[in-house]
Amino acid sequence: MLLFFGYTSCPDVCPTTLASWKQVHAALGGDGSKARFLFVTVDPERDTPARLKRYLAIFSPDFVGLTGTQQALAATYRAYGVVREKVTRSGSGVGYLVNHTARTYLIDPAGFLRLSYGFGTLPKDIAEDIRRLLLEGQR
Amino acid sequence: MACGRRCMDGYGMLGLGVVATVAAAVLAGCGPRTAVGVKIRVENAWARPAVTETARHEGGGAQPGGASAIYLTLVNEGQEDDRLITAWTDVARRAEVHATKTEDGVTTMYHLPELVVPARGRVELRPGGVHLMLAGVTRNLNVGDRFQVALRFEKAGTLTVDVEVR
Repeated sequence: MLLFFGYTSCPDVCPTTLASWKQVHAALGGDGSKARFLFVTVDPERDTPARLKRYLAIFSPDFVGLTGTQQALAATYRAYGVVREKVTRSGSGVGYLVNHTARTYLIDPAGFLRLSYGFGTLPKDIAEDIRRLLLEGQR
Repeated sequence: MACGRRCMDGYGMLGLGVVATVAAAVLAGCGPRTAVGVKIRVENAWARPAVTETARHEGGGAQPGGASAIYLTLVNEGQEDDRLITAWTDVARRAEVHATKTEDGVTTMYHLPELVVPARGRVELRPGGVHLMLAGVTRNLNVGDRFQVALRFEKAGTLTVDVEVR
């Protein structure tokens, strides 16, 4: 399972990560259906479940968006060491940006966090790691 | 861009002085190029998909959202540095040059008030780096859509560029 924290009004880093996930998914071929791709919002004020779904569907129907109560999200951010900070530009009239941790987390079938990747990690490398975890699970 | 090349070459042959007015007229016919020796070319312009939907959350009002980024390469074939000063497009309320930086795993973006395109140089706007941020996207941008963005340069004037959503 791959996990990322982002938001749908994110211009650069989040869509780049999702586009890279799409390549991971493709590189996995038949194993793609065994992997899960989860996108947790860092912007619950704007990212409703419907909006998350619509946004992620642009990249893949297999990507799942997650949001929750403030409390549940805060606990999740804390557990993954995710930092988020809202940046409002006065008078811009176009909303705000959110500075946020942009790592991708790899969780194994037993639920253990195994690896995390910095922004820009090659999709083929991530796909290779997922394949190894899937093989492990078969042993 | 073919027009630009032809006109600039034409100007080169005309030389200086007496024929300057003629050259100016020829250049004017080319549209955006307003300064002699400045020529900006744009390559490979594309953008990220975006959704415009304005979300409502319990207790909160409608909030603007929807963002994208345009990536492209600016090629300055002229002898002088130029600067990208401003950009605008129909599909977003605001287009600004931003740069992404990642520190301790946290990404932040900051606004660049101008972007220098050095003489005989090229500047690449690419994912995770410098990009043209679109904020307040006014229509859904789906893969395969095309739209236009206008780029205004200090010397080269305004160029209109076709952008493909990928």
